[in-house]
Amino acid sequence: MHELSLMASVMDIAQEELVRHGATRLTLLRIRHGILDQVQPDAMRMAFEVMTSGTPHEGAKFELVEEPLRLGCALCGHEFTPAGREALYEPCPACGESAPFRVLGGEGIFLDHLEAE
Amino acid sequence: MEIPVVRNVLEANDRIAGRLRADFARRGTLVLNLISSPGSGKTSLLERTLNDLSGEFRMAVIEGDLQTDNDARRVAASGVQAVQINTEGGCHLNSSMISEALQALDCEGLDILFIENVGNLVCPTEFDCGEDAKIALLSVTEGDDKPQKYPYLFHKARAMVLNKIDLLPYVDFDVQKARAHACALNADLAVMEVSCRTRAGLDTWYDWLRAARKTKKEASHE
Repeated sequence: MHELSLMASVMDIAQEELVRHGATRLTLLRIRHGILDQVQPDAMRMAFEVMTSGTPHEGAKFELVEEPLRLGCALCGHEFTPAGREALYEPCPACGESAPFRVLGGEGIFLDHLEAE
Repeated sequence: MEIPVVRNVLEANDRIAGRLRADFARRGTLVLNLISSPGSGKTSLLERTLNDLSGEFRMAVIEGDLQTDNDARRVAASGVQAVQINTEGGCHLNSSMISEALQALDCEGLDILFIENVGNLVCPTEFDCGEDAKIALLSVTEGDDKPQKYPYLFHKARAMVLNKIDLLPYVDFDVQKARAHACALNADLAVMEVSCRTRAGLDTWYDWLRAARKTKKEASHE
């Protein structure tokens, strides 16, 4: 439900970048996010369509890229990328202990690529 | 034309949150953002806390709800300042709403500011409100798999308060499982078991508040 708020921020940033680069029409917009960040792809896509509809950006391509999560075992220090969300609660693949993990990377929601004309 | 950018989508919200945080740091005010599902007992925890600690701390509350000022009236009955934000359907509070609500509060000498977010385990977690810590509130009448279903909140929270423990004999809630899943991505998460109805465990929560408040106050003098 917060996807409309997120997309409103995305479009503000995109507009700033277009002005800075002397462009007027978006042709592609790409967002990168971590798996823990609660970004629902269908809701984001719909928010993008709603916000670009009837504007010069209507019809622009929208891409959403999931960034791999980097975890570190709090006990043995082993660093790894979990295979999926379920793996967050499995024992450490190196030491086998059900220790807590520290999130080392792969968090956040970023606008990371635009194409425009 | 290709425009490579790497910009945080939440940068506008985070910028205002940063300003709020700097202002609270200067004043030495501890700011806590309470996040839970609807009905977990955020307002009940605040009512107890405000009544029990009002002789010790100067406190204020910002209440976030879709509609009504029921919660602001409930907490204001304890005599503390309370301001209500109605999001009119919005699922979370953001830093600009907090900034506006602060206009209605006298922040001078404030020890603790509680932000009671909109009842929702998802969206409020994404939006920094300038707080020192997010507090995740969970109650035993919800499933013990909530931390597993909503990992982001439990990862981001500094403390988890498990409420309604007086009802444990009547529900199938595995406390150890909920604890383990809540701490899976957050080794430093403080977990406190309380019952706002019977007052069980509230002293642990109050001690946590005192310690957090002390740390904040000391940092403001440095």
